[in-house]
Amino acid sequence: MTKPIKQCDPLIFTLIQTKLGNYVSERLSIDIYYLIEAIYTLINDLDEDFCKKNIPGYDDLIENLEEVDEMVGRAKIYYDSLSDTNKMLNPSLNKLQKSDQVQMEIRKQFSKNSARIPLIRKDIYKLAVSLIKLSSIKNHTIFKEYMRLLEDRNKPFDSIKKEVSPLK
Amino acid sequence: MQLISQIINKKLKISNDFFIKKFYAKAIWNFYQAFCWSLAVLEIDLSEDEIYERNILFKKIFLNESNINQITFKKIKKLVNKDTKIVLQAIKFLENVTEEEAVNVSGYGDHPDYIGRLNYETEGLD
Repeated sequence: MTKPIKQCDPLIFTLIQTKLGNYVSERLSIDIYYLIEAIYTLINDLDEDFCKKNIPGYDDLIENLEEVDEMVGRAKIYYDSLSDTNKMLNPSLNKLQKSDQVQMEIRKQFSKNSARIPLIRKDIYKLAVSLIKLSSIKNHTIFKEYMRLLEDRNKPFDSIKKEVSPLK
Repeated sequence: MQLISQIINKKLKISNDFFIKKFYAKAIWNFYQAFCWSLAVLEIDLSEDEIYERNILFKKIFLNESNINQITFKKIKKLVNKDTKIVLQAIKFLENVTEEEAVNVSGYGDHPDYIGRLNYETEGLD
């Protein structure tokens, strides 16, 4: 049996495209944060009852999503403050990072919190695919203007990381 | 399903870029994003052990990116090579689905000769 497809409102479609564009082209920050935002927007657009009816195990999937959302949110807070202090200390972003105790502490917290985010969490993607299948956005693509074109220009976190070789 | 196909392709491209630039944690992260999308599309269930193995290896690399040891790197590279099969399978599957859906999207399924004609020109021809 084919599942019903709900027509997506153009404004919401743009919003979802922006979020997915950020998710797809994000290289410096926590990309999964934008995916979770896109999923919540899709759920609100499609209506929760409609999702419950058409997605098997919806409640469990949402529970898992909330769990990951909390982990990602915590890591994102430290990432943002890290990039802010980095910009303050290093406005040109060309010079090497000065050692700073506060920044070291934030980095430590960031590493600690982001290491908790699991590499494979299939429930989120399962939910995302199911939602996309139910919406009319599945036949569209993300426009180039919603991608981060200048993504390589500013390197708040990369600038303090060394390039490493695995063969040490 | 064009949207999902685009996401997977873009993630693979970013992962490739990071492998070249030697940012291994980011490269692996992006590759496994594409892998997770592929699993969801193909509706494949990995066992808990397989997920655990990948999560632990990634954690090791993420926390010690400046000093990755050779054994960990070789292990994750082996897994990446193995998992590439599933990603490619998903890409092929999505291509087929997109082709099938493309027929219906035009809205001219029953009247292919209506394509390119204005609305008033086809009025009353049914």
